[in-house]
Amino acid sequence: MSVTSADIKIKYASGMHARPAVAFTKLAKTFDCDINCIVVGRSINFNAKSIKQAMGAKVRQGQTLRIEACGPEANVAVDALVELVKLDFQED
Amino acid sequence: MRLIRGRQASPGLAYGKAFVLKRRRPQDSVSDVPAERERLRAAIAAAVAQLHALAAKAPSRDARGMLEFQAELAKDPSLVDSAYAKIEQGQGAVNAWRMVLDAEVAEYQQSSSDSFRARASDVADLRERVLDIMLGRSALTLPAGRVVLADDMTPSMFLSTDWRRGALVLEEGSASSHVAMLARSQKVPMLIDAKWREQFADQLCIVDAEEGVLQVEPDEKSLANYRRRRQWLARQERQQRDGMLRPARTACGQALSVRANITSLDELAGMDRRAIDGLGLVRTEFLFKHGLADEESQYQSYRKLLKWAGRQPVTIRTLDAGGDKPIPGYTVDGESSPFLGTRGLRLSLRHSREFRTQLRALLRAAQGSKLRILLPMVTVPSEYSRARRVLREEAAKLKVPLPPLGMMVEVPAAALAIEKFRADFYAIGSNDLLQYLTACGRDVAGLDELAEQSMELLLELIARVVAHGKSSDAEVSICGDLAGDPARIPALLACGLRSLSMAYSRVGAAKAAIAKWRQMPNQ
Repeated sequence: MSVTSADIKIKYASGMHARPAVAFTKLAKTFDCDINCIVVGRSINFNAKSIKQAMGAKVRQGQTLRIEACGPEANVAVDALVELVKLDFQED
Repeated sequence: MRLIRGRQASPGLAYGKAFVLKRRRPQDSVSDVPAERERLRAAIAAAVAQLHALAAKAPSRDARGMLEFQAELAKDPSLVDSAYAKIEQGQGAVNAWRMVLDAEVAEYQQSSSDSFRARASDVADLRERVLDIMLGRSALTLPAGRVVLADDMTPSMFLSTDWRRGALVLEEGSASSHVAMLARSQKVPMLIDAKWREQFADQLCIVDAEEGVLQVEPDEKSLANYRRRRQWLARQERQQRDGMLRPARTACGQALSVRANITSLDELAGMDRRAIDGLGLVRTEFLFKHGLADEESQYQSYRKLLKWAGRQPVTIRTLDAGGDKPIPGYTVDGESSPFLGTRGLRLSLRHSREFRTQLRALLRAAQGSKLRILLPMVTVPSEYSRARRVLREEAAKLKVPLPPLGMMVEVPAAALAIEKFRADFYAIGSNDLLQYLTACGRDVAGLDELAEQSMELLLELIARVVAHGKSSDAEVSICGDLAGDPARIPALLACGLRSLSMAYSRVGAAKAAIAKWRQMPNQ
């Protein structure tokens, strides 16, 4: 199965702290596919469906997230997650 | 009768039945692996259900976010599978959960970023919620009006308890903890470091925080003594209330100024202006709770404050962000030691646009009032001069007179080299000064004794600042917790301080302590 991937920069000031990370992992869990995230340049990766791992990655403002998905809903999952990051995790 | 010694964390006297709060680390009976797995699974499921229910009726977005975060964490296999693995290795469900969550809490606590570190308490909350369910202490509400004996207590449990006529006795704890602060503000007597026993449950107890003792099953003589002390304390409180409106004077008739510290505009409603000689410290961080505040909204708040104070002096401190007060997008993220980092004036000088905005709002609001501007965390004289230049420029642009510009003395380097400064006035921040002097964090349990033993040194530094103020004709005041502590006031006055600023609730007791003080001929 092919892997779909996209890069997106975190603009949100506090980075991916609790609320954004909850929004991100909750959305990820709605898709039927495996989703792996890489913090570009920091050699850290995490499972997009795990809040523990997403928080543990401590993604900060200005860092770039590479979202890689593999599975039946990979395309739509990557698009939706990129959109969420673009909207600053729908904070405010 | 038994006498247990402890230390005072909040003053007062109480008499009532003891309520023993189960220890947080009880002996746990362990059954076989499948039963322990099921025990943990059921407790986590119940906790998740509780969290979702609480989130649904959470009063704010922040509260909801915190609860949802905990629920997601409880459902995350990355976390809970480690606990199941520990059960497979022979641990009981309680221990397995505690070990995994303790490690998780520690990981958050060690983070260099404030926003991540602040989540440690959420993870600890989740740990306790699941443990409470497994150990059958869920939905625990403490009975009202009891002498509560516990090993430690969380702020949320303290806040959900009715403490009227009650008292708190902890086996551990620290006098500078959040719970101790809450106890002092709610006037709940509290002892720490008191080694109580389980068998005291339901026995009658006297807590005498002033004396630092817990008396279990007191005899007639102790009870009579308790009643006498209670009456005496009530009389004293009444006298303090009456004495509050009188001007602060020492026993030899010398007039002093006693001012109030405030942290938000709401506090003004509960204050009587006649009881104080102005506001000695207005912290402006409340204006920046939701990020940076614009000039107009700051101006409105300063105007309100200055109008309330009338002709009384008002000392407003410029933004003291950083340390334990981060502001997203303004403070430096990820500093390894925020208390030693870019905070207070250091940040203001770096972000001159925001600094100028605040100064402009202050200068505009100052018209017709006695505003004084105070700079936090000044370390070397050049910082003060730079800030003064900025203030002068802004005043010139607005064509308004220059208000007095003072500095906090809270960094030992500034206190030791105080003779090199030429500020219009000085305000000693004794809490930070003591913390930086002794390298003892304010919230760290078990270090009180080190700080206590360094008090003489702190007083020496204070005397040094007072002497510089005298020779350069600049006022020196003190605005830390020491200023509102009747037991410390004689020593502060002996250092030569004649201006004290404190929480409004301390004013009565402080004036009473001042009224008893007499200057020795050699001072």
